[in-house]
Amino acid sequence: MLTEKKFNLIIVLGIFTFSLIGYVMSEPYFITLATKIVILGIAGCALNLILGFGGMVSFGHAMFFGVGGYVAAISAFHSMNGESIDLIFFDFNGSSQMLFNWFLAVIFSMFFALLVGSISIRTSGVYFIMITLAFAQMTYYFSVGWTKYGGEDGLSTYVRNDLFSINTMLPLNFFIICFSCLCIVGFILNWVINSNFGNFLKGCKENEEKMISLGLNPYTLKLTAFVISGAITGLAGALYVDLNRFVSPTSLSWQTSGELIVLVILGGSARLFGPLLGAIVFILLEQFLGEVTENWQFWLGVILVLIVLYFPKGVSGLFIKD
Amino acid sequence: MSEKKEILKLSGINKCFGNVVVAKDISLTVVSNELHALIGPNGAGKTTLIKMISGELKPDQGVVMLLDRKVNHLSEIARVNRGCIRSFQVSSIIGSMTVFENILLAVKQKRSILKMLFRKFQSNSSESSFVYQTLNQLSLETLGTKVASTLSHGDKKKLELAMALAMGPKILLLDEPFAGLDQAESSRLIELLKSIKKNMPIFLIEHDMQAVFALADKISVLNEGEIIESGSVEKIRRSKLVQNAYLGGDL
Repeated sequence: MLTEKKFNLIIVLGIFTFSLIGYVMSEPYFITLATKIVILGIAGCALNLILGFGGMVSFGHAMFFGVGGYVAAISAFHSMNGESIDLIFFDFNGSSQMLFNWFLAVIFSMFFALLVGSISIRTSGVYFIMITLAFAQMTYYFSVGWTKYGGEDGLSTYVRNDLFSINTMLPLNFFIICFSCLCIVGFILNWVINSNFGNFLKGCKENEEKMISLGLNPYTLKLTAFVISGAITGLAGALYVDLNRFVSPTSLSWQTSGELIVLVILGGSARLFGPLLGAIVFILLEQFLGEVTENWQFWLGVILVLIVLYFPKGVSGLFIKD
Repeated sequence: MSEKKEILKLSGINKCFGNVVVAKDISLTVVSNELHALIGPNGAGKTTLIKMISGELKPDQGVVMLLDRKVNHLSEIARVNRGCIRSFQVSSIIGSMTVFENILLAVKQKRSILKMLFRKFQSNSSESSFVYQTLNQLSLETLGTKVASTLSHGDKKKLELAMALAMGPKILLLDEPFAGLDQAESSRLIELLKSIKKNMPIFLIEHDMQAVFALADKISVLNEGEIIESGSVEKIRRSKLVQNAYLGGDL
């Protein structure tokens, strides 16, 4: 059994090594798989902040993933075709700069998270699940009807955005960019979880009444966590758009929200990088089980049931000692 | 002798749930360094009253004064921050954390969100010594590293009390702290509360009459939402009204 620190290190180094193997073997597909794992891992870890540590089961987190993605894609799209967006006070010409588009994605996702969270967090349990789902579905149907940006067919950006003078079209370069984001996000989440705030958040999950009797406002604590989580999920969405050079309403759908929850449950909630391991298992099952059978999702369901029944701490619980 | 100061004052408190009257014109006062006990049969409205004092429920009529200030409009959280600290009938602690961490939560509660985010959950030397001092006060010093959920029932009650004390209360509202304790644990808690009440007022709801008589400076008896008698331990012991309404016999 490992300490959580060692486990985190092994997982992160494992993904990096997998990508390097792909590079050495001239298999860009491996690098793309590793990149996808990293991006979904970031989104899963962000969801885990509110689900695993805050006890809020958001079934609408795809909304922030999709909003981040659409914002980054729209900015890149306008930069590419030269058509500006009239924003009353100024015309926005879009941007092909990754950093700027990430910034926009994070800001918009934060705003959406603040809006949705301020209403949703007034509820709890099944009502919270349903209200977050409802908000996500609203954005999903909006994107389906938004024909200016591809509607149901989605929006292509054709080339990846730029980051300094790095050739982002090279799979390994883009992987390293995403991997760096994962390390930064991991550091931030680790800090938040181990801060006073993180411990009060855990207290809210376990005993909200006690937190009130300590003079703390659970609503404010939970909303802050929700906004942080939404912002990081938005960043993951922007990275995913750069990976695929495409965004579609699917990224806002309830299936995507469900997949993010699956990552958390598979890997183990209440562990910093549990969802990252969840992403590894999920992507590998999708790839390798998908080659064996078309019905790989059926077997994923079976595995999920077994994990919930016999390994409530997820796959990471098999490796980390308490 | 120093003058007794009114810490908590209830005047004309009324509360109904539909047609059921749970508080009828309740008035009482808790003064500094006094333990005021509220007794009454199950369903008399004791916990409802403590909820109205703490702010969890709002009275339909009447005034709640805390340290000479009307607090009816204040939320539960605002009242906690004014020093009105409550314990629950069922021990309310964070079971997954250690005893030390539970008390540290209580010590660190007066922080803004930003300060909470940018500070690690660890104690500095003054906080550590304060936590250990509180643990010592409640004879929990050997249990600091134990996970709270593994404590005995009595120790959980003590931990909850320790958390309340760590917040520096102006008044303690204790809801049946003796429930479920064995004789030895009860005796220890009585001694502990005797030492605490020297420094701060306590409003105690309790069924354990032995504990109430050992601790109370003043007792109020609640029956069907109404205070039927109030006074010293001797007065309550002798009151025929109380014997008939509450105990059906001699106290």
